[in-house]
Amino acid sequence: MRRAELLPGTLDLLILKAVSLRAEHGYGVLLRIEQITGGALLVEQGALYPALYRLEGQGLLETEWGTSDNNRKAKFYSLTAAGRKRLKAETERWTVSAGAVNTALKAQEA
Amino acid sequence: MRRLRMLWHRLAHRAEVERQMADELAFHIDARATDLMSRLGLSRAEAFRQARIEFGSVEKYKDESRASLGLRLLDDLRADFRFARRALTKNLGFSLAAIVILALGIGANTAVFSVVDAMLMGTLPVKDPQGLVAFDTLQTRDSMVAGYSGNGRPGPGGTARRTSFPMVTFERFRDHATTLSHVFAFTSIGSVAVVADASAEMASAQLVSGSYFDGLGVPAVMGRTLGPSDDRPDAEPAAVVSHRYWQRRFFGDAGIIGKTIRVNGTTFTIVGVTPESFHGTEVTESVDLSVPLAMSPHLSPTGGPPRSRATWWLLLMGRLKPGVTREQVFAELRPIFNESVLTSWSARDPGTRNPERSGMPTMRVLSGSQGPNGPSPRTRDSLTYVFVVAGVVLLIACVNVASLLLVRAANRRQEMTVRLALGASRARLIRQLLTESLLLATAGASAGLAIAWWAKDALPPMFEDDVVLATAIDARALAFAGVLTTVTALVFGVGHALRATRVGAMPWLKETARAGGQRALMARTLIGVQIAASLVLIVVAGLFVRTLYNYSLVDVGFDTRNLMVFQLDPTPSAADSADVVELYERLLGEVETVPGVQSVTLSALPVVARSEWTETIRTERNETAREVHLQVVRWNFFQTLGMPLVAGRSLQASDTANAPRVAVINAAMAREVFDEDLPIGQRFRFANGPRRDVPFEVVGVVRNAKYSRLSEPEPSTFFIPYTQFPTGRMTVEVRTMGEALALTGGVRAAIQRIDPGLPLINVRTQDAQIQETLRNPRIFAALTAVAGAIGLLLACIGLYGVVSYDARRRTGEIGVRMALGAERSDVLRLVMGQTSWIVTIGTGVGLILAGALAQLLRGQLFGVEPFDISTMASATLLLVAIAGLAVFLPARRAARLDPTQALRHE
Repeated sequence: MRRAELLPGTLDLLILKAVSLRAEHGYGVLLRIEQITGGALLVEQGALYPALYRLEGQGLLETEWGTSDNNRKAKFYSLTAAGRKRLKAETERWTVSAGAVNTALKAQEA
Repeated sequence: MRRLRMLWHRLAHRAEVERQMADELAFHIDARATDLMSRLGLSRAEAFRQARIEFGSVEKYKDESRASLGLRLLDDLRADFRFARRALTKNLGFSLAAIVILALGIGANTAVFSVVDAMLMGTLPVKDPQGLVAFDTLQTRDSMVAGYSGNGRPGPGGTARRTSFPMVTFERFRDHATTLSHVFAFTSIGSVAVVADASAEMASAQLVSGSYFDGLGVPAVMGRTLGPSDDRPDAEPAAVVSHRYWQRRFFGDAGIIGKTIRVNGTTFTIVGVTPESFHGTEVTESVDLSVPLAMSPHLSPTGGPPRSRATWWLLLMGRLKPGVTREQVFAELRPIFNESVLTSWSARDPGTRNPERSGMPTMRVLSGSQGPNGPSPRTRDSLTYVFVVAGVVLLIACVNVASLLLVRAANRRQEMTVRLALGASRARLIRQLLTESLLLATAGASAGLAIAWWAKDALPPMFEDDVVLATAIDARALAFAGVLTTVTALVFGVGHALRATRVGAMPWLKETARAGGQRALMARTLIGVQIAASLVLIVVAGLFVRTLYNYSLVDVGFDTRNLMVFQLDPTPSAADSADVVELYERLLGEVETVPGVQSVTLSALPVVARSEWTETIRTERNETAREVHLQVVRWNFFQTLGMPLVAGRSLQASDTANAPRVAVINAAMAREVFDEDLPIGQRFRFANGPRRDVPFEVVGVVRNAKYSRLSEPEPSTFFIPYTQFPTGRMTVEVRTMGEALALTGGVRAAIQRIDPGLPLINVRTQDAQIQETLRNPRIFAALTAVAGAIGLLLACIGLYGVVSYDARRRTGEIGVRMALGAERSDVLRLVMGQTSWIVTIGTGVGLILAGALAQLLRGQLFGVEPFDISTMASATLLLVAIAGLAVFLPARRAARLDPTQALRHE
């Protein structure tokens, strides 16, 4: 399986996406990213936490202590209203710019 | 807002945040390990190992997470401060030196600026000072002004700028002005004798019109202020006292309202006390007592008739109606003013009729926020000079701190290199240095504030008598000096280290000769600046010392030792001028009986006390008018003061009011006016005035003596007996055997045996009075000398440091040279030569600047040219000698090095 390094700035977007369906704890976020990217992207596990704290600080995520599947105390992250808005905006921005880049690259191949 | 709250929460619950973070990360690794065990079937230990590897450095991510939470910065800042404090206390000598220098620079500047600002730009402590207007006029010799009493200064285009107006102008403005809500007039009447609680003392008083206090918006803190109903000739005499006078004279007596006092013999009732901040309508003036303008006839210092309608003697101010500009006031009042001038001119005394005059004075409407007169030009000059000196001190302080930091940066390069090598980031190091510099600057600024606090009250009394100035520390000045020094500290404390770190760690482990050389060049430049600045101060201080010395050599023309002087004003007690003479004679007769008193005399003006009296006279022989100085004296004036008679006779007790008018003239007047050495028997008369009809006959000639100040040549002067020219207030001169002031008590008792209500004003010795006229050069000399000495000391410390550093840096080179056969003297030359040229250049620049500054001070110097070669030479010699020592000592140490040790140095 080929794995790609994360493009800068995409980790935040992936985290927001990962917690958009339901609240996840840190490890859950990691699994979820692996799952939704089909394991194609490599996330250094520790790097997740500074990013999570940063997003929480920006008011995009909120946290709550709860119990994990295997019955352990864990901190769960979920989207705030601002986070949801940001995810939507970022997704659109990403789609537009990724589409443009794709088009450009294809044109060169032809 | 929300973020700040969150940050605060995190700071307040720091331990909790840390624990949660640890829990969270532990949970992650635990969960991963569990996954790995079930997915890949690893053993528990293997799974945890794998999980930890995949996670990466826990501490690193914790740290990054803290940064995300905003906690890192504060942690670092706290560490920075702890470290900075430790670094600064470890090097206590350096830190104290830097703080003291900063404090001196900041403190001196803040204080001087605050005082200058308050004295030159301060506004009156009244309600809305910007809404006040004041009036003045520009007058020429041709202006229709029949009599003037008040302030005058040179105005634009050869005019005289004068601030007094005649009564009629005030009355018309008051009755007709529609652009002003209040028009008010006032005038200082100087010292008045106040008898209260059975003791007599002098107080300063002013006459004010009815709407003075209302117009200024000054309320009474007790009782009431004066109003229009008090300002009528038939009103009960009422007075308002200042807060300061209330405290000083009545000890804050709560029952002061309704108390009666006698002012120049008239009984007044005290009706109110003004606020503590209010001290009159001049920025630097202090008034004890305000009484209604209508009371003027009872208070006139000469006891004479009321002021003529033609005399200009009142200061005028007004308050603008809302929305009105000064231009509108001018447009409305100028025609009224011009008309009032004509009215006043036509009311002049027929004796002074002068049909040639037809000029209309130009009225101006000024801002009244400083009162009509503002600070005096003399004060302005002095303060400006002090301001310049303080500026030079600030420059020296900045440069000095800069060079101190430079040397310190050099000494710390090893420390910086090690920290870089251990992985500290450049930004981190810079922040560390920044913190240190800021800590230094803050400490310096705090100490400077303390100095400024003390100095702001110590400064003003040096320049003005009896000045009451509520000086606040000027925030702008403090900010300016503080920012300037802080920026200096940052540029040199951090800027240098910044350049050092850019090079990277390796080159710094071995100091390169070139980098060291660059730093030395910078340090040398800084020291050159200090040398130049100190030399300027030393030269100027030298010029002032020479000035003082020259003054001390001046032949005053009479014997100043054992001479007590004071003023008396017995007019309120005497009914007319004959009584005044009679009273003076009784008083003086009583003083002569005091043991130790040799003789007692009188003069209208104190001698050598910056007071002048000039009159225009015409001689009978040739009718041209000459302006000469006048002194009215008692017959024994010359004998008492010790002015030798050159020819003819002295004045005599027999020259009474009814005897023929006589005058004694000085040698200068004999030569300049009569053009002969002994013009005995010549006659002259006043050119104008009511007494111009009767001529004076010259009966004697006395030797020249200084008149009003030491710096001027003896002017043509004539002396006439006070019996023939009675004056109210006079100066009493008492010749004593032995120490003059020892007899003060006896003399006072003698005066008050004759008139218990008569105060002695301004008792002092003649020597002290002359010294008083030399106050400016004395203060300037002291101030500049102290500043110059500090500057020189700092420059020499810097010089010593640079040469030592240089010598240490080149120890290896010196070793090689010595091993190859260089003599000690060669080494000495090598080390000193590097530095001599800074001293040379600094000295040259300093001399040029000193010449320029001295040129500006020309008016303050006496008997010495601004570009005085001998002063400059001796100042340079002094500087070079001291600087030479600072260079020689470390150089000699380098020359005494043992070559083998020196070679092993690197």
